[in-house]
Amino acid sequence: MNGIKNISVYPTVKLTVVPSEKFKTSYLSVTFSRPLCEKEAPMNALIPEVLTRSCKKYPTMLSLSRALQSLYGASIDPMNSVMGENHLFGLYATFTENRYAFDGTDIFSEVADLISEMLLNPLISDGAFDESVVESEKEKLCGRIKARINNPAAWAMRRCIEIMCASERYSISPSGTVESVSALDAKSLFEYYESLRGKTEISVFYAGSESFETVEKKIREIFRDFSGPAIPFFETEIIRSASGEVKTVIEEEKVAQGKLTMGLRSSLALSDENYHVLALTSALLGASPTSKLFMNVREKMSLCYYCSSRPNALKGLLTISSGIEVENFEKARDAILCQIDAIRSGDFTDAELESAKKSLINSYRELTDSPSGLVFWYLTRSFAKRDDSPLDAANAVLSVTRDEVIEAAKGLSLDTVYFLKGTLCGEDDGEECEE
Amino acid sequence: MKKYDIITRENTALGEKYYSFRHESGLNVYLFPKDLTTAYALFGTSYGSIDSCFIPKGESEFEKVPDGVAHFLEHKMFECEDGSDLFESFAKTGASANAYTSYTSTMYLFSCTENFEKSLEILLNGIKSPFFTKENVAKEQGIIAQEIRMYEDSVQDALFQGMISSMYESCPIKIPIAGTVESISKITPEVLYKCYNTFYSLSNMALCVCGNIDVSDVIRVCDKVLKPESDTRIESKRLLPERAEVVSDRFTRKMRLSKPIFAIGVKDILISESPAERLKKRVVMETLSEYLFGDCSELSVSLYEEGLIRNPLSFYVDHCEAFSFIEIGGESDDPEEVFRRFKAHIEKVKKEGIDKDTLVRTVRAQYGEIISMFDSVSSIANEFLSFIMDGYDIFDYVEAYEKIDVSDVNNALHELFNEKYYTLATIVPQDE
Repeated sequence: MNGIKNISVYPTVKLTVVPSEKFKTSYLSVTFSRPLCEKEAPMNALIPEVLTRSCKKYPTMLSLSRALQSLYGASIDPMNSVMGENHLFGLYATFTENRYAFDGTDIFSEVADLISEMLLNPLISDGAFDESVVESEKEKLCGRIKARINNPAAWAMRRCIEIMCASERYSISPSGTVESVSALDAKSLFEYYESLRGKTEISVFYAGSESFETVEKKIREIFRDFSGPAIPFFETEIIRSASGEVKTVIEEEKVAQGKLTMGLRSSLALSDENYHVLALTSALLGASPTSKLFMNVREKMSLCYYCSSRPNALKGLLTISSGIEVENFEKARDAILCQIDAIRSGDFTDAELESAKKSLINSYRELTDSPSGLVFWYLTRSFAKRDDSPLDAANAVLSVTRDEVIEAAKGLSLDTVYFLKGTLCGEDDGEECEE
Repeated sequence: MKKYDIITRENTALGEKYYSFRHESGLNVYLFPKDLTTAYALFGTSYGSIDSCFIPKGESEFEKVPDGVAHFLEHKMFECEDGSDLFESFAKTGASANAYTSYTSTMYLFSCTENFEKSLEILLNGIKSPFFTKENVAKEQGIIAQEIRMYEDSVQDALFQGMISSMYESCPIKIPIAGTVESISKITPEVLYKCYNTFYSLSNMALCVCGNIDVSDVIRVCDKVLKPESDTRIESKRLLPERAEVVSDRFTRKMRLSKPIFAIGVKDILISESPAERLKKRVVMETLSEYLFGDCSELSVSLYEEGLIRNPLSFYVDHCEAFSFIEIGGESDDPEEVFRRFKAHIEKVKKEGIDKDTLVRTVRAQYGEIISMFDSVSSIANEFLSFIMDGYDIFDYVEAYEKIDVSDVNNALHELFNEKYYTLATIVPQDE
């Protein structure tokens, strides 16, 4: 992408500006990152919820919502995710470009100021966050953790990762657990938040039409007290091949459809220069409607509606997921493995490879039309210490050879098979199947 | 290349414009250029899951087909006579293709960053060349059965379906779009051809292309691929007799989930035959719902602060030729109390009347949201055709917001909200 600019505003504050004149909505995010760990995860998850709920200037939800409403319906939302084994948390705003404000409101500045109020002037008393806000957000977060079972496919994926990476940081949930969130209190949470200053790098991303200078000035002003020394880079542990026997875990739930999830280790990760070969291998295997998994497991064998693969770039994993009839578990698993073997043995046509390339390249090129997509792209890449653009990646994909794909497929090793076995049959509500 | 009368429509405040023309084949074509890398094409028919009772082309009596045919057809249209499928053809051009079926339409689409003309040709050609056999129908039954199974496990789908079923007596949206495993087992190639021949005539279809496109390229492809067809009048029973009151004011079901979720449905059967009236009512309903249930509403804020709901209330408005309702949803340990507070809130606002300043703020926030739609080629095209199929266009929609008047909103409040029209649907955790 032309004109992307990033600088260190202060040693701990990095600013990236993705200039784009052609959009009506702009994007601004401020995120902190810490090594993912059990102790801090619930606090890192709760802080963005508390910060976006109120601030000194707008102490109630209603006053804050009204302020945002007046800014042409701007939104400032909490953000909590992982980047490899880094815990990324903070807030992000989407808002209308100034030129569409019919009363001349400087929406960009107002939103940036509001973010600054939330981060630097939160609602506190006696050295603690507001007690009632913290309690209510704790309850909400616990509710969300419990509500994970509502989505069987995501649940199965989570379980697969937990089993596969049991002894790695990556298995830690960035939301914490019900127990660890419940144990937090307003005072220690605030003390922890204060202690983050100097312990965490702050990344600011902006996509929109404001000039780099305007944005930089604003960010410099907001973080003027954050001039500590730079924070060392935290490296994600990458295990490049599975060791020992394949772990197979089957768990039962009262759902209609079985969810099959497979986790593989990859010899390639985003920190490798040739990561794009893994992205391409995944596209060929199961990331498009002409992929091996779609064409065979769905179209030829009629086993499922979806069967797809997805690389986890920073951690160097590849996951596969599908929804199937319970009795087809072995059949579907073997069919999926058979397609991976096909790629390993070079059993794919040049046309298939070409299709996979085109599909992947198209998705990279389309990214340039999405400001938030671009922000996510560069943010992810920053955790692998690289800043190549989607178009650079598209060019790299273009020249990948068959042998490189075969090599990448050989570099995949099956670690874990997780099957969420449904125990309900058909449309009759709640009726369990007889074995 | 043939000459067409191309109509230009512009909205200067947004800095957007589009072109349209009626192709000699009978197809209406809409072109929305944007200075972006991506080009997006959406080609579809005004035929959705609710069109299951209609007069087949060339016949004179109404016929009922199995539930889920429109969606089944959507899957089958990707298959070609030579055994290949459209996905393979698109893979050669690098386009990313997909399709979706709603209650009232079936849409086929692709997005691409190169070879636009070739991809458009594949799309138009493919959808104009049906190929159904016993074997390929049987194969699809297995795939769609798994799709239906997936929906069966979705608590949100179950909640919505429960709300609809307790609101309506006969409205065809009571039936899930994909049908049931049982109903799709009755689908045959003959049924598919019958539906295809009736609803996939070009005069019942529309094409919208958006993004990095060139008007003359589109005309050239249409001229090459589309043959003139005679206009057909379609008779489909979309509107069935329906009383104003809900069938039942409660629905509940147990499923695997952590906490009860609820949806309050507000049924509405007053739907105008005039598209302009429908548009006006739609934006008034959207604004009123934001006013009553949005993030700045007293109801949402107080329920949230008291811990009665987990997240601020969500709401959804649908108002079109075939159905109209408002859904207000959330997660709560006590949906009955939320329902009680909902009713009290409505009565209070009715008594106080709509506050003008609050309404102005509400509309301003909605304006910000509406213009964000113009940043994405897919949202422009998808919304564009859904508006067109209800009789107005995307700029009419934006402009309707500028004309919202406090008395219209007040009237709508009294007309739409009445206890007789409310239902409370809940999904609760099953006993362990």
